[in-house]
Amino acid sequence: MKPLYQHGLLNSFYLWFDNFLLKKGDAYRNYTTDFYYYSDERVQNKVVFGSPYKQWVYDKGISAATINPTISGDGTAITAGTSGLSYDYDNGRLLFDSDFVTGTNISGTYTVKNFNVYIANQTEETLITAGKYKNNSRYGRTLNYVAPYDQATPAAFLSLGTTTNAPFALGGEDNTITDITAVIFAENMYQLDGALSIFADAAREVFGDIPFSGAPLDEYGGVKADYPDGYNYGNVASTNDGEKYMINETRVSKVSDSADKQLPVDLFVGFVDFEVYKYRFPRS
Amino acid sequence: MPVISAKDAKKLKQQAAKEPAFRKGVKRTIEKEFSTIRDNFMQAFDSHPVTMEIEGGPSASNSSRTLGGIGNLYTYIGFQSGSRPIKTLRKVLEKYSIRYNDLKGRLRITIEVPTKEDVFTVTPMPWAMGRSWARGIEKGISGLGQYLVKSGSIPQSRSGRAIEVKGKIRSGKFSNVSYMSALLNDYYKAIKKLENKTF
Repeated sequence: MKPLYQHGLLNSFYLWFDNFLLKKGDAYRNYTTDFYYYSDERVQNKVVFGSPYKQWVYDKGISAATINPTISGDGTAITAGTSGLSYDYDNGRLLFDSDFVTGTNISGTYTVKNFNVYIANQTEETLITAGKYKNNSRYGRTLNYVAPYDQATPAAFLSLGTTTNAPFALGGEDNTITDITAVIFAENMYQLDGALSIFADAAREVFGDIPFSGAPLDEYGGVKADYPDGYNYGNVASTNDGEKYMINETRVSKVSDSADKQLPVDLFVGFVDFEVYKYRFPRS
Repeated sequence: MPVISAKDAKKLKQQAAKEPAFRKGVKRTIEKEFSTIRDNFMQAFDSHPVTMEIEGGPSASNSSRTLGGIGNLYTYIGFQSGSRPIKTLRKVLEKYSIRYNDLKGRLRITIEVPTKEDVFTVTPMPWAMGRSWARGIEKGISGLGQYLVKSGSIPQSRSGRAIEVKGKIRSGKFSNVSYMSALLNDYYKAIKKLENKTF
């Protein structure tokens, strides 16, 4: 099946959401930590060193972030490409060629998002009650690598809700109204209030229609070769600004105290409900 | 046969509009007609399957079919046992005000009734105050798979008869239905028609 309207919307919205949170809230933090060797059967012919944090910042538009991590092995700097070094931003780890010595002491500096962002294929209640998340390593815990592929909190889970086409203009133009929900898991009330505050102010924001091919990361979690100078959401959005989506309305809410007692996850939970408009010709 | 010029007719109309007896008559007519519109609206609200189901409390059947016949909206939404969400909503819906203003020799009538926003504000989800259950009926409410209907009352449940659980108990889907937005649209349309009457 070819990519259709909802595919494009979700991809564009995900990229906008991620950038908006990082930019408006400075929702990231620089870390300098050790890296830990582990084997990953999904990655053949590579040596993997994981950091304690996943979903590193890869957007060059976030000026204070360390987009190209500074890595050293046994005290010597290792630059990207040396020994095949590449960054897996999604899983927060380094990939080396298969002959790299696994006992090397690796450390480095990189930037981690305050909130990981995921596209959810589960209902809200499943997200909230399953309690299956890994925490990005936090205080009072011995640092180790964070397991790859699993979802880690604090995080925002995005999902599409209902979509309706309302007649807009003569000639078959409709206003396609789509509800998108973000379920936010924060580790404290300050963090949750911050995220909700940012998105409460997102009404009337517009974002560009970025095609699937504009997705920033490749199958190894590194920035795609399509972006030889690095990925910058601002640049990608401005080259795709012909078609726009508009956020007509946002509503934010928190799970209230009485319900909190029933939450099986030790997290603070909130919701952001977006109503997105797009003027289009669905029948053409 | 005496003939009144258009200019004189306009003057007469302007004078008539200022007469207390005329104004009294107009008010009586407007209030009577509005009362009928409002009664129809409240009747449509009261007899809506969603209203009836929630009003039925924790033991009602899912007559709105929003839950595929499983459980009911009162427990699904998670209202506190004993709470009367429909009563609160009804109180707001009953509110109105009618204003009469002179406009170039005519009486202009403005009828104010609750907006959709007013309605959504007074219908918070019991577990997330910023979300409206009335809006959720139209847009979708999550949670069916996470609650279990018991035959007896369960003290730790907010609604008395259903509990939210950690695991997935029964898969299901909430079916959206039109509710307050549709009812209010009809209400507003009828009011607009009344406001546009010339006196």
